[in-house]
Amino acid sequence: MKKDKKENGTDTKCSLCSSKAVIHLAYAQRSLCEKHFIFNFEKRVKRTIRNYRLLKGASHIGVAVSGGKDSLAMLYILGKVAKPLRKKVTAILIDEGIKGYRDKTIADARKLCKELGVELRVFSYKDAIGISMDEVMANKNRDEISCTYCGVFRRWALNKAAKEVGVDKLAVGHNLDDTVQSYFMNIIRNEPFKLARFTPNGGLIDDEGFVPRIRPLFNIPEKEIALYAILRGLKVTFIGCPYVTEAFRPVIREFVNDLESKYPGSKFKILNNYLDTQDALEAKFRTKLKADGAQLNKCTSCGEPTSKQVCKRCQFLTQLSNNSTK
Amino acid sequence: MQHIIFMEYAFNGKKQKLKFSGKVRDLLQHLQISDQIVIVKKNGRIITELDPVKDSDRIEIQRVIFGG
Repeated sequence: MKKDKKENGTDTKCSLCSSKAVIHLAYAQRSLCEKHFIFNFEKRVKRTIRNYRLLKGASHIGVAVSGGKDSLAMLYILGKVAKPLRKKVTAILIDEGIKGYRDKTIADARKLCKELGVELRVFSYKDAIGISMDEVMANKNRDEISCTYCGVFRRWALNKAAKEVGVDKLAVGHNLDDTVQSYFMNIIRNEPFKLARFTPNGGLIDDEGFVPRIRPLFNIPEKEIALYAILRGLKVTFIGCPYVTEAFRPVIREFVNDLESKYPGSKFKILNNYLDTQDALEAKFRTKLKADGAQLNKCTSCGEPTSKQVCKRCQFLTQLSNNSTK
Repeated sequence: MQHIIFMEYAFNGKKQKLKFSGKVRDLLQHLQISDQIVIVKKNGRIITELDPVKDSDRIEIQRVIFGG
């Protein structure tokens, strides 16, 4: 590996050419200019798509977009990859109904979809579920933090929307940071079952009621996705969800980022450790599910797949409805 | 060579002035901002954490990672 072409007091040069570097990849001990960073970034995503056969068997790919940097960067690359393969791409956006936040990113998503010539389908919590996140948060007696409701509602709404649009696979913008954070969160919460399903190409439960999910960015650091989006000229509004401050994840995010700053490469090492053990975890829980005779039911309320009689989305709606009349 | 600087920097659009000597990485540490969540521009161009900042540089620190 070439050393950084850097002189004391001057700007950092690309490790592969003499151009000005736009990023220093401490974990790889090299710096890259705009051209080489973009090339390297797309090469890694394409390698993930190829190695994990993420698009295999899919003629229509749904891309879950929020309008944030991760999903728009993913849409941009998947659009490029899918075109020569003659695969149809449709962007699916779930509007949670958070004023001053989601409305801004929806505008960014509309702009990119128009530029790429990709159809954008927008589904709202209000229409699909009957309640917006602003209304959930205004419910005085809600029992859970915002992200708990939002996570359940989003999974339900996304899956339902993907089925309605008729996609074969649904790409979601989970990145390396998300993967590592989820890894720690599941360990701390002692939820090895959830840990087993966090793979680039699926989950533990195969059911026709679930549209298979793919994660093309699962091994790309979040900061690099942001830089890619900026360098590609994608219109992205960098803004945080106003309700996220009370969640557990930010604590873990700060811990992981601190670890990476002090010990570069930590995120990749944690990911690789996870991938090495994921097979065993998946095998264990697949066997357990089979031995337990676990099967998916249709929710008696909404008809969507669930391991219980009533799915979590409907349980939450009942709870919020009861609470609001207290 | 280190530079003693009195520069104008902006973090998320909020402008401030600071006397500082060192690289971008040291500047972020001084400001207690994680290098994992920001992209730094010097005079409008994206730079790395290893780059030095000089007198009269206009530094923009853009937070690009939030929750949610």
